[in-house]
Amino acid sequence: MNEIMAIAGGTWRRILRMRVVYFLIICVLILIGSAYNYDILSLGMHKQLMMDISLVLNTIAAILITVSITFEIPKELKEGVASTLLSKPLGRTQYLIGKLVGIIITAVVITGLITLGFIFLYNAAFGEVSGSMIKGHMLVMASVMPMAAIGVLFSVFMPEFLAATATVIAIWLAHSVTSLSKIKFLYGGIIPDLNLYNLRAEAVSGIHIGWGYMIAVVIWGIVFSIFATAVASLIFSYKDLK
Amino acid sequence: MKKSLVIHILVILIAAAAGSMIAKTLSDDYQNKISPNRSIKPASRTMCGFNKFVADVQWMLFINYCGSIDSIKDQNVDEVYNRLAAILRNDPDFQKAYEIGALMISIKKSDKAVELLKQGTDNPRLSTNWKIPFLAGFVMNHNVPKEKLAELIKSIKADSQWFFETAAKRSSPPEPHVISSLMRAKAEKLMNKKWKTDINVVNEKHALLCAWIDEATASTKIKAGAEEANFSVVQSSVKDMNQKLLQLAAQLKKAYPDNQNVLNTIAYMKTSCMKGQSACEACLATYGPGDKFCSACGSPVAVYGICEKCGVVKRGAHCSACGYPPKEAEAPAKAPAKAPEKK
Repeated sequence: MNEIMAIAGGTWRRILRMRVVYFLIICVLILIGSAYNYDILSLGMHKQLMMDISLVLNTIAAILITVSITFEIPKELKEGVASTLLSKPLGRTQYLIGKLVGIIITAVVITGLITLGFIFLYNAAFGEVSGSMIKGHMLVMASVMPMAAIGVLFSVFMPEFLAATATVIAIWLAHSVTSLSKIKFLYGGIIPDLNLYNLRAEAVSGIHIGWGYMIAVVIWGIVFSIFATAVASLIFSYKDLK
Repeated sequence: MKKSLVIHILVILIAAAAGSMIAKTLSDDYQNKISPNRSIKPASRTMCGFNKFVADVQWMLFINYCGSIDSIKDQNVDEVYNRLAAILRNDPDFQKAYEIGALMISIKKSDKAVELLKQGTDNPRLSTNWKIPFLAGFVMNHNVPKEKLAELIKSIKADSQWFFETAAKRSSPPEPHVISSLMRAKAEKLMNKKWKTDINVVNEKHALLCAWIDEATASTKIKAGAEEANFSVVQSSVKDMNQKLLQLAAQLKKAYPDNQNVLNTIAYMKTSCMKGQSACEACLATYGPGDKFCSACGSPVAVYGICEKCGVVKRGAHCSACGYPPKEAEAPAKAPAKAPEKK
């Protein structure tokens, strides 16, 4: 466990050292705040626009952060950093889990900061905050788990650029698989459905989202992450690091 | 290594099975509870779940485009319609797009406007919006050319009456102009047709009166608990149905005093809907108990509600001036039956 948290801490510190992360948060919040000025151009729809922009930008931020792992793992494998780590009593599975936990914690913190910033801005602009809006953002934060697991899976056997591209394409496609819901074992088990986290329209419309659904979707994210990490670990265990 | 492989495979299989079960439950049960009839339209499949945001951007571009044109003409109405359709494909819950957008094209492309509004009316997430069905009925009545109307009704499986009824049911309390439009739509269906055995509908005002009489008859059935009665959304919006009927009948009689169909309609109205309500034969104004002449037109009226003996207006079972009928007149009726003689 200590090794896993050590790897996770390393990932966390590396990302926090990147100034572009703070720039990203500030830009996102500026864009969210600027939606308030679109009341005339949108014919009074600026409230919904602000909510939509915040959810979309938060999702994009989550995707960008989780995709960063697809650069980190192949780079460490190429540079031999990974083989140095793995020569010590650190299992390959622990290494992957550490990377996964590190990127999940980092992405959750960053998306959480964006959510807090949005709540502050929205409250300042309109003097109200709705529960369904906050739950919409919480779902975005929860969606980080399966996305990070997909990133780890691809980064184990692909070079950097290819792994990042494949991760982005997989995340994009994973929003369109609900029509496969009748295929047992495949749907939700092997093929992720990120559309389960997509209740943005409901969040903006103020439709109630139950806590039971929220908890169930987080549990699904954890189970899918275990699946993807187990597959990644299996592939990684047979990979030649030299 | 073999042990590790077995563990890996076991974990993969169990996680896949569990994930599949949870995802299926989430996809079927919970999403349908949160969003009834939530369907993924083809457009949203390519948007990575950003379809609502894309609809917002398209809306702003649409407003910008509409600001750049002088008016909606034949040359640009297709462009306006295509933009609206794209917005509503990405966000079927966009109420303003239905309300404002459909009105924009309601003159040049009225049938398409009605189709868009029908789509909004059928959306279960907009089931509390009464404006959309009302606008659909309004556009259908006023803007759709008669030669296209039948085909439109066939394709969308709804007519203006259905739209106005839907709007009336959704607005609580029902808006007066919605009720008025609904009754006009019902009246239009009665135009130039045989309404009752000896009554043919002759004009719009006559049709409207007949429609209101049908409505009053339906509400009477509801009050009586009749099985064949259907729910009438109009009855809850009209405080005094009799007064409404008399008003319409008076206007009609004034305009067509000698038309036999009109007179038969008024006679039918009095017998079927207005039992217990006294109205002047000449002008159909109501009058109170004891009145000998109509206060509106001065015509003599059939007197009611007075004491048969002294002519004072009765307030109860007995006259307050003379006590008629006396209590003794009631005693024989109340005397107990004599007991049979004992032998």
